[in-house]
Parts: sequence; C-alpha cells; structure tokens
Amino acid sequence: MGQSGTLDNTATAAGRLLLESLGEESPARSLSRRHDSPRTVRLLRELFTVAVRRSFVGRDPRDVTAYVRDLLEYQSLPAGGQLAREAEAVIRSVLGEPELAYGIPDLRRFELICHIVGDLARPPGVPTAELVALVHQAEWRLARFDRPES
Amino acid sequence: MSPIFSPVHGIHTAAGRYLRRVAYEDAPPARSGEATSAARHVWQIAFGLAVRRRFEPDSPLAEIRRTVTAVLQHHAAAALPALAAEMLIRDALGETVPVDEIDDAVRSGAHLLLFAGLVEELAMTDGELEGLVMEAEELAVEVIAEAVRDQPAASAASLSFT
Repeated sequence: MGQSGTLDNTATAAGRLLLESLGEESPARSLSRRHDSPRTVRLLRELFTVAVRRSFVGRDPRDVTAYVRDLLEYQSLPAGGQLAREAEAVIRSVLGEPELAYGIPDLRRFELICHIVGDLARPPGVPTAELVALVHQAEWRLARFDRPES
Repeated sequence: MSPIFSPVHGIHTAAGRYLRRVAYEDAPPARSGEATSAARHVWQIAFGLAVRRRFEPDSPLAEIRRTVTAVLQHHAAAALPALAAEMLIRDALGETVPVDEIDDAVRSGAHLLLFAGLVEELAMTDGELEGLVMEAEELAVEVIAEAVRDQPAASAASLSFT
C-alpha cells in the first residue's frame, strides 16, 4: 500500500468526499451527510472494513468491547445497552462473524459505521498519507467487488 | 429461613424444578415469558453458577462463542440474539459488558437455554444438577422471601413461573 498520497491522488470522487469528511471537525456527522450517494456509502463500508481490520485483527476480541464503550462514552451516547451491542456486532461482522449484524437495520448500521470510521480513520490520529492509502485500498476493494462476473 | 425452603432434601421451588426440566429438555423454555421475578432470579443465579463452573474470567471469547452458537443452533426456534447471549455469559464472569436493554423474556430465555447447554457441556450428573439448582435456590432465598413479604396472601405455588 502506498503511503505518499494526497487528496488529489485519490482516484474517485467518492474517495475525495470521504477524505474531505474525515478532515472536518466532526467526521462522523460529516460522513453521515454522504448518505445520498450510493457509491460513497459503498465506499464508506469498504473503508470501514479496512479500518476495523487494521485496528483489531490480531488483538484480543475483548478489545472491541472496550473500544466501543470508550467510543460511545466519548460521544455521550449510552454505552451499556443495545447501541453498544449493535456497534460491537457491526465491528465483529467484518472480523469474521458476519451473522452478528444480520438483524441490524441498514440506517443504524450506517450511523454506526460513520461513528466508527470517523474515529478510527481521521487525522491527526491517522496521518494524511496513510488515510489516503486506506481510501485507495477501500476503492480497490469496491472495484473488485463491483466487477461484473465474466 | 423461608417456609418455602423446608428442610426436605431436594429442589424446593417450582422455578428450580422447571429449571431442571429445561436442563433435561423436558419443558418448553418459551414459558419463561410468564415467569415471576423470583423465578427469574433463581434462573439467573443458577445460570451464573453454571457459567463460572464452565468458564474462567479470561476464557477465550472463541470458546464462549462456541457454546453460544451450539445452544442457539440447538434451539433455533427461540431466536435468541447471539451477542446478547454472549454478553450475559461475560457479564456473569465479571466483565463490564453491555447487558442493559435486554428484554426480560429474552434474558430469562437465554438464562434457561444457556444453563441447559452448560449442564450438557459439563456432563453433570443428576445429583450435580440438583445440587446446583439447590444452591441457586438458597442464594435466591432473600429475594424470594421478599416476594413473599410483598404478597403475604400468596401461596408457595405463586413463586412458580405460572
């Protein structure tokens, strides 16, 4: 994965939109406003997969529970009930347990993805070059999965 | 001691007997929705005892997940949420996990079915199962006695799940 990107190096308009949102003061809120672009939403889902796997693969699965609790508390959201379980389910769904998130409505799943991506993949915690590389990877995944079968 | 718990040997409450029947797959756990709070308390305590016999606080999550998956597959009709079931086990092990906002019927259903699954995994004998249920009853006695005090006209039968 390349680490020398800039915003302009991002191949697609959807990728640039996501990078712009991640650079704003409230990334989660900004990302949530991208819901009217199906391509951007699909790319956001792939970016979520990439960001979560880079953060949690190889770690103790219990770290997901602690991370969700910290995230929701930081966002002043209830951290002890349904929302926390759904957030954990959405994260673990891309770590090899897809069945955990089957019952979660699309809108709630999208909101949670916005919060999690807005936290895991934003500057300055993630340097811009790495962030661009993450979006490139998400774009590559999207292109691969969108490719029609021959 | 509450009059419910006479010195007679064995399981003393309808809730305890029902729990044993669920463990023997001789009772429909769907009836947990009709349970009294005292009965739910007995089941919750028994569930916690079984969880702590089966797992350590640092047991791998994959091991807990295997148990949950096996129980939910065996009782697919109950449609219990897998993550809530897992969280109840981890909660019983002392972890700080999100267990708020789980409906009473779902919570008790999970307690009963997971208890039965754990008894199966532990290959408990009849005597060990009875001892576990009796221990849960004894630990729950204060709550049950409180329920009796709140409903002085109620008979012991009212402590059952019916």
